[in-house]
Amino acid sequence: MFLDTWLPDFSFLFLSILVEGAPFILLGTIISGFIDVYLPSGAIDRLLPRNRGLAVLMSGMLGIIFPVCECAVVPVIRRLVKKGLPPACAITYMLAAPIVNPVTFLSTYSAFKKIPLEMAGSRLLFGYVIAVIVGLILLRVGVGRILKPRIVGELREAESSHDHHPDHGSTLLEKKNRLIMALRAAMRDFVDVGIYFVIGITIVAIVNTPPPVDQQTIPLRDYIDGTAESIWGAPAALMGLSFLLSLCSTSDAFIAATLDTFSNGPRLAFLVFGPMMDVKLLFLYSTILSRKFILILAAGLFIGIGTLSVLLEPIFEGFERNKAPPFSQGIQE
Amino acid sequence: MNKATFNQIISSLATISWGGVPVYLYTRGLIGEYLSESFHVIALSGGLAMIVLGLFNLLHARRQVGCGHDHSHEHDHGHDHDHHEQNPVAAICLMIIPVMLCTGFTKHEYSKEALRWKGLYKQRTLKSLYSTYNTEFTRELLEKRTPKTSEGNFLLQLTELYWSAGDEKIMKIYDGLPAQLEGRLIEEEPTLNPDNTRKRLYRVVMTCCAADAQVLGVPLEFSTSLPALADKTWITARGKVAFELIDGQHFAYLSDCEVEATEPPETQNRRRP
Repeated sequence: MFLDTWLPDFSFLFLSILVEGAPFILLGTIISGFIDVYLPSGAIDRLLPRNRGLAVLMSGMLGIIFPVCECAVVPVIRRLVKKGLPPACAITYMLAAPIVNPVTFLSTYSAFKKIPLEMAGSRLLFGYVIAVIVGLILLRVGVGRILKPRIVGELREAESSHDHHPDHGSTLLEKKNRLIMALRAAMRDFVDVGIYFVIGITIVAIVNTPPPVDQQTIPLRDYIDGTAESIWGAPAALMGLSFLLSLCSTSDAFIAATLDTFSNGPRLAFLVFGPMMDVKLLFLYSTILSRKFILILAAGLFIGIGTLSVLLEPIFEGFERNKAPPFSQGIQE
Repeated sequence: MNKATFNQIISSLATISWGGVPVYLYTRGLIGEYLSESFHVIALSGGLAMIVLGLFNLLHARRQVGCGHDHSHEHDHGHDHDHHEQNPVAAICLMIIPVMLCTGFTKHEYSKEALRWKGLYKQRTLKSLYSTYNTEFTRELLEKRTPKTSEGNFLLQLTELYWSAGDEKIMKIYDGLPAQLEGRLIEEEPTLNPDNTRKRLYRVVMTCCAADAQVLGVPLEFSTSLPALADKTWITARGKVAFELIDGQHFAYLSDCEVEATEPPETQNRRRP
């Protein structure tokens, strides 16, 4: 059973997620490699408003200019933080960019054919608001409580070298080899992130593979469907589903559109929570964020998005009030 | 060879091994089993880019590109690249070995148990599907937009028939329609096949990749003997559309079926012209 079915099924799923996600990670790490070599320290920080609150508000919209999905954004913000971008702004961009970008907007618009603008607009706004709230809270939290100790150490070393060592300028050798340095940094980041990505997708593949037992087991989706009528259970179940499925934000709306036993609130919770926190992201985030912070962030997002989706459900429900399906009601014989 | 060069070589090999997977699947025509069509070119380009990146760094592994002094610290001279060393064991164990093992073990498709787990014998409803049409969906509209075979059978998509069971008015439009469907044949769930007159036609429908796939199945009822075709054979099925009510839920099926084996389409998701 294990060798005949479980292992081939697991391998099939593992490879399918790998070949889907790896190109986006590569894109992010190549951008990251070029940022490393060509972008001077502090340049990003200088581009943002001096007022930290405004900087967070602006960071939440950077995805419109630099549209990246959740796999690609992690290596980019990892590098930007090392280049001096404040963690609060970096995390706001990290959470918002997979949702607040034109590709995700268009895919959501296409997936929800009956209420396209309402769902795509609500998703974008909901994602933006959540990311900005997190960013504003983080302005009051010390860097040491957010980032991994190694990253904090590197930032402190950079600060002290800035204070004590005069800028000795790039050497001639470095100037000549900048492309090699950029691609070397890109590959180093790719392997760094790839290792964590493998751990994440292994768990996703295990969860999605039928257990290797003789008796028939009940698929996860059947449990999830059973919560559709529950006010709090429905968003919780769909956020749990998005966490386990670890879908790409550019196409998850097509899955959400098929979950139409659920009302729009829980479906929006699915569409906002998934790109911000899922199994593979849990491990990707650990390349830059401290474990404790990731757990607090996950819990905070789960509670915050779930609560907002329940509170705003009357508004979301109203989307379809004037667009009742012409013939989905049972017909009179 | 120093430690940094060794690490660089291992990282390059890990990157090349990852790039090799999508390129291998694409060139073998298997990528459609793993990814939906919109991701095929992305996966191929990503794979090729990984191979190029890995080879480039492999060729330059021994080349010294830094400023020549100790890089155990961050420094500010126009760039501030970090220089932490990667653990080559982690790269081998977590990047190279899992990919090689999975490429060896995969059968490029789901097992029967996984098909069941993914919903092969389930009927789900999509209540909003037909409400997205701007005009009312009628039999005339169906006849106008659906091509027919020379024998007069409507060339329906399996997904179209599957989801039609969610709406009573739509069911009336499809009921009794002579139809031809394409998909893969598999044995029917014994509890749904007490008289042993049925098989099931299914297709795997994915949004991004195989991990999010749903398996949609429609029963085929035979008035004569069951076809002697192996499970998972690609077939063309002809029959009449019918609906049945089981435990308060409607199911679509094809009655009076005849089937013949056919060549698989280029990819799982692609409809044959």
